[in-house]
Amino acid sequence: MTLREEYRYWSLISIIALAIAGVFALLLVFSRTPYVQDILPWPWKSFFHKGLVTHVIFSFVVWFLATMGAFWAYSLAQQQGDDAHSKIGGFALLLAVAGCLGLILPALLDLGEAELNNYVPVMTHWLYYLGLILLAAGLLICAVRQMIMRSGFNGQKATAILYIIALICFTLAYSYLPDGLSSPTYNERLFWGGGHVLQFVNTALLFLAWQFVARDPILSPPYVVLTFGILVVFVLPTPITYLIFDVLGQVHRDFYTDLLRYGLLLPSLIFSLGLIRFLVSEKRRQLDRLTQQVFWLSLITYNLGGLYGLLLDGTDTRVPAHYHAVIGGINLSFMIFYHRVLLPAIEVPVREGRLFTAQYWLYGLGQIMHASGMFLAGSMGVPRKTSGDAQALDSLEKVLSMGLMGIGGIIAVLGGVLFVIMTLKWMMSARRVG
Amino acid sequence: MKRSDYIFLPLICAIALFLGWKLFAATEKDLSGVIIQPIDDIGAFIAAAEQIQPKEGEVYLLAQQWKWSSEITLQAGRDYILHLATADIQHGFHLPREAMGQSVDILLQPNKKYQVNLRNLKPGVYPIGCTEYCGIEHNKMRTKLIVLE
Repeated sequence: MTLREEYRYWSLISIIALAIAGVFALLLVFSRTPYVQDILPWPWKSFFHKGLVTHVIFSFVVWFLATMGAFWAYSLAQQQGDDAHSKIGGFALLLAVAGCLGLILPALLDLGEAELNNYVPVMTHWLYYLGLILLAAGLLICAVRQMIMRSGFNGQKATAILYIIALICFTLAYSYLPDGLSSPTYNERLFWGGGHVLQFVNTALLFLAWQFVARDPILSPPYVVLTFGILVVFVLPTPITYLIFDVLGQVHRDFYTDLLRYGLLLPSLIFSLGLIRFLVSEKRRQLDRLTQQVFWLSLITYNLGGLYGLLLDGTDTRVPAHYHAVIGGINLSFMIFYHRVLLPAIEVPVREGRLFTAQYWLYGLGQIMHASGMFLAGSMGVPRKTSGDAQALDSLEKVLSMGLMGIGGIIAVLGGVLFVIMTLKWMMSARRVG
Repeated sequence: MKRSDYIFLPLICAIALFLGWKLFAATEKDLSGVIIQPIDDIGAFIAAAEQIQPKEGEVYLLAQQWKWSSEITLQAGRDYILHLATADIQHGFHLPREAMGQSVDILLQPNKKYQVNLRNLKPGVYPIGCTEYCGIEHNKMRTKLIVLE
């Protein structure tokens, strides 16, 4: 398999992952709709949570990890040429596809029980865990290949190191967790440390996306090395925490919360300032207007999420406000990376027009409204993940904030759906022509 | 390298070192004011949590999937001792910082009881949530601390 084919397939997996997440979101709605739920061929009561797990795993974990696979294959192709062959690349893709099947089937076949634990929600069935292992292994192969490449320390290598450390954390958690734990505690602790480290991977991917799309360096080489270096240095000691702290204890739990707070702040600040400097300099003129606008949207959404993260406390809606904005900023960078870098590289024509521009504005502004509404509501004490009376919307301010959240969410979903439909359609039709 | 880089690069390194030290120092932070003891008889704790008129100045709160034993109503300006425990699996007790000037977050482990001093309570209604994922209905695990004038 050539490297160009490899990054084309990783791109396809990541966009299809979003499409699958979208289909499951629809099935979730159907499974709660009277009469319609009776037509569904599986038990709708147990499907709701399983469908939710599948929706989250594809829209968050698979989408991010497959995009990482596309980044690595693309950057390898930049060095070795698009037509260079890689045998293990095809095998890695095969593992990832098999892994995705393992992640879908338990929801459709009503296998195991759903656990909505943080970062990597699960279905407690061997097929689902096997799916996770295969997906992780596919990307591990690519990470190792990235590590042994003859090049200096760069963003791609840093991402590979971070990813490998995340897998080490998962493995150590698995080996240190005692037998006989309840399923929620087991899964929460299993994915806690590694899940936090994966957020460093996602941050590194954001910086890489900005770099690739900007073409001209956003930061000079010493700053790039230092920024990615800080990400790696903060994460390097994490496996040791499994040796010195009780994996079930509070110190271990709080360490990872603090790790995000202290470890991501400085790199995010440096890269964001670099991007702002780039966007106000003459260098920006080599980018089209829309790309510049998307950069601003991504920058604002991501940093708004970071700011919300510094101000959150407890279990109100400020917590989802923080991560929705951060993920929104990263997603915007991935969307423009696909349209401006990867799709042209695999000779998929990108048809621009009103809808094309609209997807970015809808998604970006929608996410900002959605997250800001949640943040305002959370500041007034509205609890997260509740509905109806449990939200205690007893003031006009709370109702307006949650209204902003709801309207923003719908607008963002419209932008996301446009992205998936348009991108997938172009990729599939280009494939047929090819 | 530009001349300004000789200022900015060491400055970034110094800030990174400072943040790294803060992270390391955070692992040393003790749960100040929290006394943790093994629990011999969870039945006795449950009975104390169910008492309508508990001992003066002592409050009991029991966590279990997926509820807290009760709401808590206290008087502002008085000191209390809050006793916490879990009847089943791990839960997280969280009181927002508005209640006492600093937030309280305690991971409740099975077979242990926790004792926290509640001082300088400000009048208001404060949500108490579970900050540790404890199962599919985890989000429903909510109660309130009501502090009266």
